[in-house]
Amino acid sequence: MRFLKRFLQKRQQKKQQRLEKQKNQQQQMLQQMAADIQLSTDINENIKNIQESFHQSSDILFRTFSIGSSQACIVYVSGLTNEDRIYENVLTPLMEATEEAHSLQELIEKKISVSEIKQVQTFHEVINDLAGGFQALLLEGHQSAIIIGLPKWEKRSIEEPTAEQVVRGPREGFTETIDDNISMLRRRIRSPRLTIQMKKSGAITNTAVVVAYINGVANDKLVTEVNSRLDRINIDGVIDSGYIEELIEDNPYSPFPQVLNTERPDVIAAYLLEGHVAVLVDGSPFVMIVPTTIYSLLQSSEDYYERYIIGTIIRWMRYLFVVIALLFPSLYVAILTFHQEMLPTTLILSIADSREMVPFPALIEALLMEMMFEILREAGIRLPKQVGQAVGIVGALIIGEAAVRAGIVSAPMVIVVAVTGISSFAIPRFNAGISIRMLRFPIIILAGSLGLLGIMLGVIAIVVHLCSLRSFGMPYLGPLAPLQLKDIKDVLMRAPRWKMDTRPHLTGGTDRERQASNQQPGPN
Amino acid sequence: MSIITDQWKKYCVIGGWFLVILLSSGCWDRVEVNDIAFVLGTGIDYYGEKEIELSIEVKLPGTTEAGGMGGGNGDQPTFVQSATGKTVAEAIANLQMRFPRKLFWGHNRVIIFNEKFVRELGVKQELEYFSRSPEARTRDKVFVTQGKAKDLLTAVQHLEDSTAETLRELSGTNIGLDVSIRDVLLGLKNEETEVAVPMIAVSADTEGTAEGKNEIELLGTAVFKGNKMSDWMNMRLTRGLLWFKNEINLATVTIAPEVDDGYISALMIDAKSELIPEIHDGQWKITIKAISEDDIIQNSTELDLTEMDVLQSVERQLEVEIKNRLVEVVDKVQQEIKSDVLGFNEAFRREYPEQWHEHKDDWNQFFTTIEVDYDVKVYVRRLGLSTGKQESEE
Repeated sequence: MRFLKRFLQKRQQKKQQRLEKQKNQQQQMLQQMAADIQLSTDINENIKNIQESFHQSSDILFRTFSIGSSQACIVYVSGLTNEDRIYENVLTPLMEATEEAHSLQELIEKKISVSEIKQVQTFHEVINDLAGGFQALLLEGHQSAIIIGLPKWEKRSIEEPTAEQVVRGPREGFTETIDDNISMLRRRIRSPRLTIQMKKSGAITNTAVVVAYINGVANDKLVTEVNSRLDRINIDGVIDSGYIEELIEDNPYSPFPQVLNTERPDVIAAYLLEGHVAVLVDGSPFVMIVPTTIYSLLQSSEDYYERYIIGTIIRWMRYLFVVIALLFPSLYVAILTFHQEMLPTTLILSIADSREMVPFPALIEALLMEMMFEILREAGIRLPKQVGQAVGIVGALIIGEAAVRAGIVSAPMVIVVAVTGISSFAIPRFNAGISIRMLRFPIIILAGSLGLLGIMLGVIAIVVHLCSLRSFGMPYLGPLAPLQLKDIKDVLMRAPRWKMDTRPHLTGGTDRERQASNQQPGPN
Repeated sequence: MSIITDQWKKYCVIGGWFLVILLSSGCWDRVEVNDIAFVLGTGIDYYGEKEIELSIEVKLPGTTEAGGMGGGNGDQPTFVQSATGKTVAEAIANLQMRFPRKLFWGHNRVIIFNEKFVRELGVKQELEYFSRSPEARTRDKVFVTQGKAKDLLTAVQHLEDSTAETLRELSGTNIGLDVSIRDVLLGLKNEETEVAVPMIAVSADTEGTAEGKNEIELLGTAVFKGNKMSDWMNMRLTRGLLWFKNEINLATVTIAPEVDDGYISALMIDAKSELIPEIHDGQWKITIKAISEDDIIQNSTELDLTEMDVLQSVERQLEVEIKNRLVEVVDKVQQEIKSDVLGFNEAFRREYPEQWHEHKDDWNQFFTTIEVDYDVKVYVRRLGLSTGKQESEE
């Protein structure tokens, strides 16, 4: 024990040292930036400085020209710029100008026909804007530069999201471009109350992160909390929204996802209307929604597009699927090795018969088959589509037929594993499905060593954990635990549209009323 | 000490306990199904002076169709083994010596007693073992057989895979009584109705059966006096007895109307009965109220049942037919058997506990003097489409 303590203390010390070192480095960098804060009046010096800052990168273009008799230069990153419009709206009017000695303000007002334009004084700003895809116009004899916003880059067109398909409902999905994503949201919620706040994240990547919510509908405290959690992120780069998700979760050790992510703008719009907050990350088609409950992970947007009776029934079936995906193989193992009297006689006799040739105990057999299933699933996802089919055939043939015939596994076990796997795929959110699938392994081991008692212990542990879990301060099992009777209408069932008069109590801000009551349709 | 080391310590302790629990308990009563011999049926016979011979019908592994590979193809999927002992427990211990797999009683379906055995030794001690055992179920069906119980278990039937299954299905048809260990043990307490157990035998009619196969038939009901069997009644009386137990179901009653040749058969769709005890001026009387709703399922007479008075006369005749059956049963029980299997005991205990208490000890003598009243009602609900001969002649 003492050894362990000393070891841990040492680790702690080292960590602190490292942190201090990092702090020092950051301060040094900041000082360096502050040093070259002002642009020079000499245009050549400015050009030289920019070249040096980008370390002579070949995609930084400098186009020098004259406005009347004074020298000017436009700087941009070639791949990020709409060059046609630069020539058309900036270069041509400036080069054709004959008058001398314009002020920058005059140029902006009279010559450059671009809507996104600003004037900056510091070198630091110029550099950052260039890296962000803007264009800088430098002029001889001026201590400031004009930043022009004519960005253009290759992007994926809007497609149907592959991970969340619906039979009925909108078919467009988010893309990697944050502007397009925001525009899709704006198009769905055409209200000034839709608030979009942009911030940068990632010290090197400078990724745009957007917080979106509907003013008044979302709780102010929640918005502040989301902002403060985003602000404390200090990493080098944000490649996908998954990076952000991991850094803003409430309980990073939990196997359950506490942030819902989706590719569907309609889902985001619906959640915003319920008072949730969306976080969009540039470069990722997955938009995050906070807070999240376990029930929203089990809901599909189609529940709301189909009639409510269908929605309700499908929801209940999904709850059943979760139980099957989590417990079915462990129940099978427990009953087969500890509680043989629990099955009807004819059933246990035929199971016993099929197990006659199997060399493994039921526990090992279950683990083996579950592993096989996970391997097949994982292989199927990563492989190109053409090969993926081959994996499916091999899996079905080898596991379904050959293994049973060879007497390595029993046929009922194959059925159990297949049913479990299919059930876990019926959970609409992939990340929720996968965490439930992974939790099933420890429960199988518990079932194999302690029987039904073990399953009970495992389930109790999971339920206790779920009860203690919070997502941005909101209870993960809400509104069922703690109970909010009014909100059950959207959890235990999918209440008809004309009954959903109020917003959820846990997320909705001051604006509780959602629609006029007494909207139940019927013949007049 | 910093927070992180505390947390580490906590995790280590929790993880350690978890490992200890899992490893020390580690599958301690785990039994794979491959290491179990499923006992499906149990037979208890006389052996020597005081010993019993316990026979069990055990499932042969790999013989159901689902098993696929070995066995199948008309092979008998069960086999019978027997061992002797002074008690059931001893016999079972002796049996286990012959099995490489653990005998498992969780799926035992039936317990069959030899008639001579129950007449002389009773059933209590044997059933007591099964009610104690955590594996066995008190839902197991109890039967008495005229011959040797082992012979019955050895018999092979056409339709079901095992004798045990045949018997279980047979008691489920409600043609005879349906009696479980629990019913018997409750009946042995002297406040309750005397025990009656279905009686079975290997059918003597072997015509039409395949080589080596024997069907099992219900003979009637073994009637107990206390722990031991005292008498028995045949199937006809057993059907009547079901009325008293309110277990009658889908019975067919046939009458021959006086006014015309031929018969009319009625199927009871719904039948209920009730025992109503009364004591008037020291005069004990019990009324059996039997109500049934019937369908006419066969009519070979010329009668037109759509006419109200004809139908009513048919109903009255059906009532008389049922009443006669009940009278027959009461006469047999009160005069010959003298053991209260009819449930009068329970009915009076509930309604008149004080008066009942006086006669509690000599009830089987006293109950023969109770007057029985019959209140039988039959309602014919559906006549069927072809009523009477007229239509079929067209």
